[in-house]
Amino acid sequence: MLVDNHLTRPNVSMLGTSAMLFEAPGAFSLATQRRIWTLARMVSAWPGVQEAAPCMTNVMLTFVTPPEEPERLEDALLAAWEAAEPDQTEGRVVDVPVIYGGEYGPDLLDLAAHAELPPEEVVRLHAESRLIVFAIGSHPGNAYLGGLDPRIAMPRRKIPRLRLEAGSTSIGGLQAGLGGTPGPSGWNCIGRASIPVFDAQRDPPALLAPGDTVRFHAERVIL
Amino acid sequence: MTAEEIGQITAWLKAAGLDSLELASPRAKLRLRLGAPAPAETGNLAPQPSAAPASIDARATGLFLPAHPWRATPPVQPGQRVQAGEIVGFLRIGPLLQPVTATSDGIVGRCLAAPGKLVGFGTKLFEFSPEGRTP
Amino acid sequence: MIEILDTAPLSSVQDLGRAPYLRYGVSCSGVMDQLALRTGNALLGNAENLACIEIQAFPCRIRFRTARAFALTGADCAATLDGLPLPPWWAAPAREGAELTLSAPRRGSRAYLTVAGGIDVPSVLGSRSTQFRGSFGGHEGRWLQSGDLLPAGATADATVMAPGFGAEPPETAFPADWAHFDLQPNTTSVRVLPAGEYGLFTEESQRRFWDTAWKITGQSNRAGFRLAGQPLEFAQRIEMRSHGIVPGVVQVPPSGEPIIQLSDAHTAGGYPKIGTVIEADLWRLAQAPLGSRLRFVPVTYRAALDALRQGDAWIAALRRLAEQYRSLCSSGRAP
Repeated sequence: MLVDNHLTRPNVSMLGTSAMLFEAPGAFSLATQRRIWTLARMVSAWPGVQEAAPCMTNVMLTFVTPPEEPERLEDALLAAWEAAEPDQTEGRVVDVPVIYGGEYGPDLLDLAAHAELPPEEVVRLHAESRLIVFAIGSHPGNAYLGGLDPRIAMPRRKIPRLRLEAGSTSIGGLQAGLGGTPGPSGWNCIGRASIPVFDAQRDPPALLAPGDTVRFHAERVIL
Repeated sequence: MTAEEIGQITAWLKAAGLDSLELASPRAKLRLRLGAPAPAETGNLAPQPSAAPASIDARATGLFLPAHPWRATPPVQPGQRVQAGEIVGFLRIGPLLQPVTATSDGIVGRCLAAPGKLVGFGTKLFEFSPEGRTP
Repeated sequence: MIEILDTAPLSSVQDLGRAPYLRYGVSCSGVMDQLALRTGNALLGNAENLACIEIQAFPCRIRFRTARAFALTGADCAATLDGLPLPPWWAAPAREGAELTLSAPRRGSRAYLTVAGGIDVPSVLGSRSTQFRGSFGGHEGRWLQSGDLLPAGATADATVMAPGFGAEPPETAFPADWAHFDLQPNTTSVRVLPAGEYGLFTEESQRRFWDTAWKITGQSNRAGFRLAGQPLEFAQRIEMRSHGIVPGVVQVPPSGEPIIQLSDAHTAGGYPKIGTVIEADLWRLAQAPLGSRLRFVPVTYRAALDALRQGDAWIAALRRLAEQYRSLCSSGRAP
């Protein structure tokens, strides 16, 4: 039986000598995410820290040089977590035009069948969901989005697709995603953004940042 | 800089015919000045200045390796004809591998030093029969 | 200018990797064997992080369109320069038009070609490493192919006189003398620090993790090594939340057979982590051939740090000695 990893208190562990992982306790929530973003911002300025990469209610610290005494860094991290208030930064609202269906969204019809809804309704519910960027990670620019209308949730595909194009908008369980670069994926792809989601020549390279709100617009629906 | 490295550089100075060298690194400065030409370890090991040598000698202080650490056999076998500058063995100085090379065209004879042995400048490593041309 | 004459699409331009962009989902990329690249750069007097060609497919032929000093480190590929054998872990001058040939490795599995001045492709997001998923960095963001021309950077120093000089291979300089068992042929030992979810495995599986000679399967590449062996069992199964990972992390998916995440791995993952191969031993993984075996050896954090410093000190000593050696050689009075 599978149980969600509800920690009762914060957990800190080492990834070899390269990184340290902090995991927040409690159920997954946006409030916890907001504290994680605050924590990441604080610790990224600490000496010896190369980067603080926030993910799902956790943050990983990589090092310029590994800490001599990791216990001291751990204590400082736990104290910083206790002090961390939820990040109040108003994220940007980012409008993302999407072409739904057809070769752009090969799983739209499957998802409509699974949800027992007409595909147009799936598109409407997706575009009207108020989606918040919970994390950027996995591959360049890839955004994990929360706040999906549960009526269009769908488990991941049993057999992953070998390639989804950059900009693919997809659904995996209750999460929505916006992929930054092409590659294999087990998520159900219903459309593709017609603006670049990741551009290595841009600073920052990713279109989205944690805390941003994404508004999808149906530029076209192919049925 | 370690004593081993200083010893090494001193040996190189001798080999290069220099009498002093100044080294600077971010943390240290070192000036090496050699006195009168140091006698070789034993008289009969001194390099012969005029005639082509009848041996291939160590030009530095290091561990003598007839074969590369990843090779089972030496690059040349006794009796093999080599060209000037060809690699006939190796000296290991800390992490560095320095080639031992033929000083002229000729025929390499027996190996004269034990594998893995610490050798000094001038130590005879191989018998050698030169064949005229020098590089 | 370096010309790729003949290679399968498994060679690429890499430096020591890209940071800090994990928070944008950009993996570190970079060479699999950092010690080999750092050695090449030290021999040539290059800055530590100049880019090289990582060669993973053999045979491979490369031509120097212009004369240039170079170093070849990593796997022993019985390399030849213009038909003459080149010792392993060696720096040498190449004349204009010289051809370098690498055969299938006799030892190790990845070779590194560094050139004086480095492979001068544009730096993207702070690195010259190829990022395959994002198709950027390196040479046009892709694997190298026959006919590719790669520029070498400007260089002030780095004269290497024939027949060149080299470094002791790290395999000999850093023997795995910390292994507590007899080393078997065709088996690589690496040191591992237990990771966050080590305690979720049954005691029997914890023991087996250390005692198994895991096979490196054919589904192993720059992204990760998939291992085969009797599956490990969880005492308690949990659904992890996605979190950041780094090269060396050993994950155990539901199948129970470990996966070691490496240079091109995703930046986040959610499988339980049983351990992390220490940074100081990642080069050993990089040189472990597919189909060979892998043993994990427990280590303390302190010992892992010491191992890292030992490597740094070795590179620093090599760099100093190489600099002196090159300058004495180029003064025309070679030792």
